[in-house]
Amino acid sequence: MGRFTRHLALGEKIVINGEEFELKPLSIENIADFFEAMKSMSGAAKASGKENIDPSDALKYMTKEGAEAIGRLIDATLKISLPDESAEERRQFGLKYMGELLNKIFEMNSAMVNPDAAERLKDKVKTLQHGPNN
Amino acid sequence: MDRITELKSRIFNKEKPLSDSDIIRIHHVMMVNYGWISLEEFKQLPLPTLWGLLNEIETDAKREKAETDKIKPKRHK
Repeated sequence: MGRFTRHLALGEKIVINGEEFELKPLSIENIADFFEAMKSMSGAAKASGKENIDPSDALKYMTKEGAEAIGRLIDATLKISLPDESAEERRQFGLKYMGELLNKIFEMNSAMVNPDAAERLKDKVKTLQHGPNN
Repeated sequence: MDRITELKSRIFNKEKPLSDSDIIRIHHVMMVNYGWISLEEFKQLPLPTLWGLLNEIETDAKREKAETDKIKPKRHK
């Protein structure tokens, strides 16, 4: 992958069980779920005492809302990326390969995948609205 | 509670996650910089593109402010 590809939002390739898939980035429509999922991952990491927790393990420590947001993110990504698959196929595939999919979803949708991302976005929007010194 | 603290607490409060008004603010910032963007078009914008554009807007705003500061008359004490 070229250095610019991620910034062009063209999607990224992922190899699952020997087969290559191209996943497309999420849109603003999914932003609320995206932050909810990041928050839940961060909470799960704290609860487990591990700094970098595998998404599959994180589910054990997550709130119902967080787990639901993650489910919606995976489904939305699969729907955009593989539009010909049925809802049931997406659900089964998403459940089976949740860890791999979620890692890639976080990686490709954010240049700032960390618990402070939402704060930084908010600060940025505030700065843009009121100028750097306000 | 000031505005930004209130916004932050809304994001991290699981009962009230990122709200429609936050999305409206982001939409507003984008339109100020790029002109009219229909809501449907805005909602389809990919997240990595949004982060990239906000970074560009911020960089431009900082540069413009630095240039404005240079030509501002200095205050005498």
